[in-house]
Amino acid sequence: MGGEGAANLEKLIDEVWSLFLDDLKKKEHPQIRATFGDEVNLFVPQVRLLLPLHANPRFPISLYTASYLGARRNAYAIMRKLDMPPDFFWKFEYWTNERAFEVLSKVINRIFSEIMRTTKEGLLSVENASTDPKEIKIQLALAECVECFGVSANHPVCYYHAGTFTGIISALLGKELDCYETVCCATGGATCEFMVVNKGKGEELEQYLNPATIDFALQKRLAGALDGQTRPSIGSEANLRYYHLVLLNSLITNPKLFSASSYDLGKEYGKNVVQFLAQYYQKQEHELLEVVAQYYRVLKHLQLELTQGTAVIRAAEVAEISGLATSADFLGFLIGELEGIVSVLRHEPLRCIEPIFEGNELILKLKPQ
Amino acid sequence: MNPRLVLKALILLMLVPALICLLLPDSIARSYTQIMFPLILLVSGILAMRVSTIYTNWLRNAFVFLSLFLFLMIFPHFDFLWSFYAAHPLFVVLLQWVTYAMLVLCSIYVLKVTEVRQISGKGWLLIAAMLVIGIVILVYHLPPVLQYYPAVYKLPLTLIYILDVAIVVMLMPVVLLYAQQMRVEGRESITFTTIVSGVILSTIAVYLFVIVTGLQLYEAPRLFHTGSALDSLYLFSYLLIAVGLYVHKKYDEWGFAQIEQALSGG
Repeated sequence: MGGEGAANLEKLIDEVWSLFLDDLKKKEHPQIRATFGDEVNLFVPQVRLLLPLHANPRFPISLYTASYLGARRNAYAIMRKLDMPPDFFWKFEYWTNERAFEVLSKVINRIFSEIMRTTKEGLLSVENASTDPKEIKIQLALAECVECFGVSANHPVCYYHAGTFTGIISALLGKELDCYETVCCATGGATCEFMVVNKGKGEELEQYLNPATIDFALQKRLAGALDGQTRPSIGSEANLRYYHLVLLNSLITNPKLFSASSYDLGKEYGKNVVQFLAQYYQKQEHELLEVVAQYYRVLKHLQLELTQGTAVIRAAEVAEISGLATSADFLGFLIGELEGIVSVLRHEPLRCIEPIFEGNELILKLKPQ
Repeated sequence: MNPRLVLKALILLMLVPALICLLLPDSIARSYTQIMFPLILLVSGILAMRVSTIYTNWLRNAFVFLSLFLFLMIFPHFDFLWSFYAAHPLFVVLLQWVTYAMLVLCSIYVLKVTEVRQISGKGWLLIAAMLVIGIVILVYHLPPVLQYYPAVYKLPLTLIYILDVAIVVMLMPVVLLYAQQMRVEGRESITFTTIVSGVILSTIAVYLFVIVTGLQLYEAPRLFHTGSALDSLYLFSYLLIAVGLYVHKKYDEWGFAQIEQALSGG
């Protein structure tokens, strides 16, 4: 991992985990954003993962590993925060199958389901935990999965959750485990199903982490998000903390490099999204400024202030940095996206000089490229 | 209910029945110990057998042999059998051997499930020191014992004293690993460490006693069931084993209840 930047991101990941564990213990805290609150439309984190998954064949393994390590590191925090005895799973490999199944199911169903429900990541259950403690095989089912809800893809895409589940369960059991997704809603499954197994077992993991190009229907998903497509039980939004974890984990392997590549992806996305919004809302060119601002509002992504002819973008309540230490590294994709949008609107390629943070506002000054 | 706190509280509480025998008049102390020893050993034996059912393989074996050891340890505490024992020394030797065999087997299985590779350099030094101290105690105390007892007991007793040292050395890694991890992840079992500490204390109690009092090892048996400090030490060691086993069996239930309480904002 990339030096000091990665270490800082690691600290931030731990901080975010700690914050949403406070949520789990029902601790009151002030709302992160005054207008949009603590939630963001599912589409926002989804697009931040799907575009790199499509563009970079190494991204699945990078995201999986980062999520695994972050969750594993923070599993001890979960145990402490929930007053779980640290030796709760002592000598798990010697447990009888009956006890292993019963206790593990109870803990997963109670703790992880609660975490997933609190952060609106999905509805988790132990589907069929055939836990022979020596040959671990735990099947988890995540209904209404935040990572892929409404997405149509040619390959399972929930790498963040695969890594997170494995990290937590590995830490709890004190064992090195792996996880792959056997069924994904993005590929037509009714729920996302994950198989947690002993490390180094089977070709399934190899295939899962090294997919051929992942293609997905971006416009269909965006249209769904703007139409208000919603999950039956937990709505169309996810907790900001979840988005922060996704963001940080997608960068941590090499913050500078991944931020730069997500900037490029964002720019391309920004250019395309203007055209899509014009068609979707059936608006004329002079109305597009308002349409773009509306797009960000609907997704609860940020409040955009964009004036005709101006080269300054002011954005408030930015989901990426609200309630989190501000860093330009987290904003690569967003800066690229906004540059792309404004470049299309002004019919000239523009580039951001330097992001400025003023209170809870992000100010981007653009100049011709 | 926090099982770790419950365990600590119970350990402190167990000091009461252990120390009380020191304060009782001789005649009552005799009856008290005659009842308490078999009772605690019986309960511990049953608990160990129940605990064995939640494990497989070596760990199950460790608890099964611990249970058998505890059951067999009841017999020396039946005073009404002592005349029989006196008349049948070979039976006593056999009983001692079978009892010790159970404890040795238990210790071997404990050692098998213990990750000794994680023991630090300091830990190994402590184990070596314990081995040396054990040998020194044996060299000092064994000759008078061998002179005191009839020929039939000489060889079995020598081997039993050697086994005492071996058992302590085999079980020490559990306690050392717990001490090592106590301040870090705390992944080693507090209840298992309590059980093993109880077994170690029961093994070294008599040696501690003779070192502190200056008595000879062969003089110790006449102090059993008299309300002596030796009785108190043994009682406490068996009570440690009992509470360790009890909380170990309840650990899943209480641990999960604690999680529930935390999740409900309690």
